[in-house]
Amino acid sequence: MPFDTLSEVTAIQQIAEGTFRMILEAPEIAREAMPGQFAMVGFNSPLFDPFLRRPLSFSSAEFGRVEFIVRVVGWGTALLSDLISGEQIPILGPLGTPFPRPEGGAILVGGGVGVAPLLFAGARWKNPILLYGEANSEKLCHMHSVPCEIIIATEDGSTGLSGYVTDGLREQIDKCGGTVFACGPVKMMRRAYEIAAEMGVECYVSLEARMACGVGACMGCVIQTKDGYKRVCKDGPVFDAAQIDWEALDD
Amino acid sequence: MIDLSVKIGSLCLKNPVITASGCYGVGREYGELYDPSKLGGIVTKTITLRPREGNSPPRICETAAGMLNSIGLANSGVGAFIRDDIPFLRKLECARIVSIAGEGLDEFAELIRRLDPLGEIDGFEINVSCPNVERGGLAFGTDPDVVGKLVDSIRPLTQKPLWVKLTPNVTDIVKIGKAAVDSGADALCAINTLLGMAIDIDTKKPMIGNVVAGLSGPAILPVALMKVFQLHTALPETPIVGIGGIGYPKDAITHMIAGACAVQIGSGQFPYPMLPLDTVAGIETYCVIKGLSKAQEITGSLILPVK
Ligand SMILES: Cc1cc2nc3c(=O)[nH]c(=O)nc-3n(C[C@H](O)[C@H](O)[C@H](O)COP(=O)(O)OP(=O)(O)OC[C@H]3O[C@@H](n4cnc5c(N)ncnc54)[C@H](O)[C@@H]3O)c2cc1C
Ligand SMILES: Cc1cc2nc3c(=O)[nH]c(=O)nc-3n(C[C@H](O)[C@H](O)[C@H](O)COP(=O)(O)O)c2cc1C
Ligand code: FES
Repeated sequence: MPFDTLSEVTAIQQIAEGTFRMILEAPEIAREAMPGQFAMVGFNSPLFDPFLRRPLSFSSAEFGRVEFIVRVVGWGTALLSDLISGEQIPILGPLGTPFPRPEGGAILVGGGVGVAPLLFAGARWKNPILLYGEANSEKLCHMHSVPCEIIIATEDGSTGLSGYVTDGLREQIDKCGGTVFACGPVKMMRRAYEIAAEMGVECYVSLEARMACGVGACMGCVIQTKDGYKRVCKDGPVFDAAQIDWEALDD
Repeated sequence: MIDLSVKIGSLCLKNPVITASGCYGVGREYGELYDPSKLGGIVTKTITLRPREGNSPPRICETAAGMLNSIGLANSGVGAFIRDDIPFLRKLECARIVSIAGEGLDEFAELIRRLDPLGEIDGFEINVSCPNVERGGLAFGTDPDVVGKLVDSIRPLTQKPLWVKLTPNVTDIVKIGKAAVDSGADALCAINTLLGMAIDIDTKKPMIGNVVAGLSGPAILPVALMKVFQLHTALPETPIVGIGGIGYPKDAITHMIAGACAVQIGSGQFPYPMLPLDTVAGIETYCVIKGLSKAQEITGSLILPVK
């Protein structure tokens, strides 16, 4: 059940170039939030600038607090990055369908800020492994506590393995099997799915779409699946990658 | 005790606040946040005879103090509505208005025939902003003769309240409203979304898959208020349901002052999910401050400058 609360920012700090970590006091939401779920985070904007709330995945939820990792990409995320501790903002959550809890091992594949929901999964599940990729070391999020085993890749090779985060996926599946959970750019998720499919393991992805209501009421956030249009906010954001019409998503 | 109830023709609402079509589903989702029975009523998403997939994404885009949408009347059709949503509506203790749209007069008639017997439905809202296939896809709601014929053809099929929801994308909304009332509409709802578009300067592509879309939200409040004012002035006996741009409870009160006997809240819920409930409270507070005993007294209380 979602809650709409006015929540106090208890900490906010930059953790990479253009990326910050924001912690909010939200006991009801924190109690129910599960990895893969998100919140609609709003603004104190009396003249509706911005108008809509922004969907953000939980990167952690414990001790009555929820945490987000946010990359500044536009006006709304820039305003959020300017918040200071003690300010209050509206948040609606938890929303959406969480990642299904894997029965065996889990390989988490996070590209860019898509790592956020996977950090939450990494902290809650038993012995997952996290493959985390960024373009370069400036963008790499500084983690306070790494919840699980983690393998870092950067495209320019400035930290960790050199190349795409999905380059190491085949080897991981070979080594320990398990279910793949991916979140990040569409190209990355599609690649992760293709590798998982080739190797015969399941793959779940967390997708993004512009959202208005965030609760499933407006039909605004749909994506094409093999079973017709589905709402990212309610039927997702987590989908079985085999159900996605990747061609339709690509452009 | 303030009497918040309002009458819209034969229908009595416990308060003047209704949720607008397409922004509330049938109340299931927002119903997890608060009990929809506390509202005056709800209008369902628009139902069509056959299932409709809706338009290709992206379907929405934020704009200055508002948003564009081009959902394309996505819904699973009247059969699935009766099977899946009517049992939910049965539990609601507020006015349950079903919005309907058809591609031609016969489809509207068929929808009324199937829905009229259901006790879970307290009235119909006719969405005339949809394309009329019989007339080359032009919206029904842009031609007074067509609107008149449409209402003429369905009026005999139901005793339940028939509300006609008007599009603002016309030269003279009053003409269309009059045609609907002359043919037996019980109330007029105004307004639906204003046509608009948005463009990404980087890709030079439209922000919406369907290219053009409907503008809603606080940005359209002044337009909506004027349309309500014009309709109420021209048709003082006709109940007007004010829709458009309500972002705060006070905006609903302006609709009522302009002549609306009730209001519908649409996209204002997206940044402010509790807005419908807060608007009920806001109207009550306003009555207390202004020394009114009934919310109905707000309707049409506009004070115009003396000429
Ligand atoms: C389920 C979900 C979870 C997400 N989790 C995170 C997260 O943990 N961290 C993070 O940094 N970002 C996350 N995003 C993306 C984030 O919502 C967008 O970056 C943000 O909305 C951009 O807002 P803006 O005002 O800065 O950008 P603008 O481009 O100015 O936004 C304009 C409009 O487009 C929408 N929009 C723009 N980009 C996106 C996008 N990628 N996805 C959805 N809507 C978009 C905005 O919400 C707004 O309505 C998530 C998106 C979804 C759908
Ligand atoms: C996402 C969305 C979907 C809508 N769907 C419908 C619909 O199915 N039928 C209809 O009559 N109006 C529909 N509308 C229009 C609203 O009911 C309302 O008339 C309009 O948005 C103006 O009110 P607002 O400014 O309060 O949103 C929709 C609006 C939005 C934003
Ligand atoms: S954002 Fe409204 S249905 Fe998903």
